[in-house]
Amino acid sequence: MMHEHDTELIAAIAAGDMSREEQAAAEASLASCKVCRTDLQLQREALEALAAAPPVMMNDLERAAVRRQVWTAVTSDATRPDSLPRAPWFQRWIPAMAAAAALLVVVGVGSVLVGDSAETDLAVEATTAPTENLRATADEEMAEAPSAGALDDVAEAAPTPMAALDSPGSVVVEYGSISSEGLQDVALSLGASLEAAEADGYVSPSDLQSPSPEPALACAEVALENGPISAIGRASVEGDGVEIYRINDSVYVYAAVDCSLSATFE
Amino acid sequence: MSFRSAEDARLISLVLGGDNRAFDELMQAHEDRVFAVCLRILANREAALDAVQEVFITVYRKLQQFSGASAFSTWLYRIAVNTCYDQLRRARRHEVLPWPETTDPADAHSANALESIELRPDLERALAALTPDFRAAVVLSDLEGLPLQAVAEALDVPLGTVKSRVFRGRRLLAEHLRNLSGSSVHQRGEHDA
Repeated sequence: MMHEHDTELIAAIAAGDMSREEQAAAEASLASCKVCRTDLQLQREALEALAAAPPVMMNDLERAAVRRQVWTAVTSDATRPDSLPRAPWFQRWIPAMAAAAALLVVVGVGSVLVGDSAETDLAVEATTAPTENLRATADEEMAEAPSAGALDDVAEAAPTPMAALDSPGSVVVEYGSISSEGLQDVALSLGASLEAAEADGYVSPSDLQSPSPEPALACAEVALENGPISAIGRASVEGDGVEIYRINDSVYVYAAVDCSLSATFE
Repeated sequence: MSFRSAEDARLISLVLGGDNRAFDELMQAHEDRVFAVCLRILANREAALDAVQEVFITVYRKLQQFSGASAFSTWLYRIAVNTCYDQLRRARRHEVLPWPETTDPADAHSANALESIELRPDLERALAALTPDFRAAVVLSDLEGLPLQAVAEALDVPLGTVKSRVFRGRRLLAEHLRNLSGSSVHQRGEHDA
């Protein structure tokens, strides 16, 4: 006869972790214990409900945003081993965003045009970025993160984030809010073909709680998969709002409003 | 060692050797499960996304501290749970993420922290009504399918404590589900009348 509070046995019966004979014997042992029978029923109901729970996962936009922000943090750490992770790039640019309404991305491709002639400026007009749930993590929140300040060792081991690309290829645009024409210009400037273009922004002014009621931010994400460049250096930024970095074989260019970029691809 | 564990070990070795691409692979392999755990514990999609971001930054930073004594996924879950707990504490301090402090199965409205979950099935409400400790144990055990020993390691509590939390968590969950179901029937009855 089981003890009234033999919860392990009840859990095992509910989970079906025993043979049919054992199961029958165990259940029979509950006959004289009303509390046990109720507990068994509740365990079964819970397990049944949990088993029917639909899977949850990030959508593509969320996934890209999370990866981007993680990557920004860890690559920043690689060059700033003694510092805490920075706030998301767009958060740092909020002041600049408030004043502007148009996007100007000027990309110069150093591998194609070196030195003084290395910068080919391409004006890229932005469309308004639609809303996407992407809450910027505040500096203080990051500072409070349990991980804060613990990277020092790994940072030294981390390589530069922008390693050489292998071979010429095409431009793949994932999410951005610049026009298809603008993206085409970027692609052409890189000597690559444009495979896909989505005027599908991932950050909106409302997400950033910008003081400007008008769209104050447009951002472009241009992934250059196997681009015609051997390596990419950190972009030199004129004004606020542009950042370039690399994830695997993709180079990401982010552009906020009222900014221009001279990126040197080495 | 499972394929996943072996692959995790290989990727970790590469990351520690300076290969950041390996970290990206490691993240891709685990990000959905981390997100699922965070979403179930935090019951808030945006908070869960923030947590996932924070988890992987932590993983990157602390990877050298991973000894391999437990599975990487167990270590990862531990970071995820701790990150979620931290978020809940911060949210409570700043009162930006209302969270039920008590588990009153009779109060079907106590799970109102689910504002940003698109679908609000009874299960999500019932889960949200559990205390974070019970919720984490049930999520890891019954939704993520971790063995109880791994749950104990992830939560950094004795095995017996995990067994108790899972058992009591399921019981409360079922009671919440019954009450939610009852209130739905009651509301339908009122509407029909």
